[in-house]
Amino acid sequence: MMEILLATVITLLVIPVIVGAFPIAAIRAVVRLYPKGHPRRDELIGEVHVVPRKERIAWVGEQLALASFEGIGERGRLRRERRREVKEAKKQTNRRDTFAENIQRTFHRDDKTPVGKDLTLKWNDSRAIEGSGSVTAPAATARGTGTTGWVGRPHDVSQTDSVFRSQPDTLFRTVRDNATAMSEMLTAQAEPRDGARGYQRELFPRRYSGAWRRSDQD
Amino acid sequence: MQVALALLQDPEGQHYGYELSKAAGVKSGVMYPLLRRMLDEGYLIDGWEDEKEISGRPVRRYYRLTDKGRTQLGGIIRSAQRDVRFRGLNLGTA
Repeated sequence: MMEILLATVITLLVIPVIVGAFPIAAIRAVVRLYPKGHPRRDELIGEVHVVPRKERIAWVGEQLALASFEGIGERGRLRRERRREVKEAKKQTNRRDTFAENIQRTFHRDDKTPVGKDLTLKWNDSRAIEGSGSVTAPAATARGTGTTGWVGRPHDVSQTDSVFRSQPDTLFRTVRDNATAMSEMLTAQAEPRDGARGYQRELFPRRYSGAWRRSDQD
Repeated sequence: MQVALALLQDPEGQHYGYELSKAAGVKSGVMYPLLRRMLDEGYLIDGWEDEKEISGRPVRRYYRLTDKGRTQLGGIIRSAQRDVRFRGLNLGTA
């Protein structure tokens, strides 16, 4: 008798949870299949509240099926897009362009006037690179189609990974050697952060920072 | 077709995904991708409810027909009215 009573009480407690709270919790989990910022995330959370309670579980099931295709598909599309961008960026860096053009790409400042002879880099308040200064030395305009002799060690920028990935110190030395004033400015204002050993990590795009370390040869 | 009809029942109004799926008798798994396609085609514009106007629930995303949408969907319904395959449907006088 007690067992039947207990089972009834448990059932009475569980049913409101299943009918009430569960669909909302479930839809919040389901929308996570969509990439961050996807409008469907907020849309479905907003809609579940107007779906009649007795239909909610089935409705959430439908959304799970939809999100499995749409959300995961969207994630895949974004991933492919990102991979293509990285590939394109690598290709760009590996092209036999001028040293200055490569710097331009590295700092994602393609929207600005090409650096060329007027290389413009400086630290801004938020510790990002911005334009300033001027490099008129031959290094800045040297064609990257062969071994350049103006860096600490010979370097062929046309090689697979290019100067920016394989030898960041080379880039910095080049900038420093040919634009003393800018180098001093960078050295003075950039301080080591988060265990970084110097300004080197800040000088390059964050996604490459793990692979780049300031050389001890300096 | 059913979705076009549901949208054109109130061509100036705001429509919500769940309401549209009910009005059109279409499963939401079909409705949402369809709405997205209509958005991409420029038949619809979307927006969010004003938080100040509602209380006790999250804001909902609404869809509204554009001029292009009204024209295109109206055209689809008019051509369907002449199509024998849609004879069973109540296509109104759109």
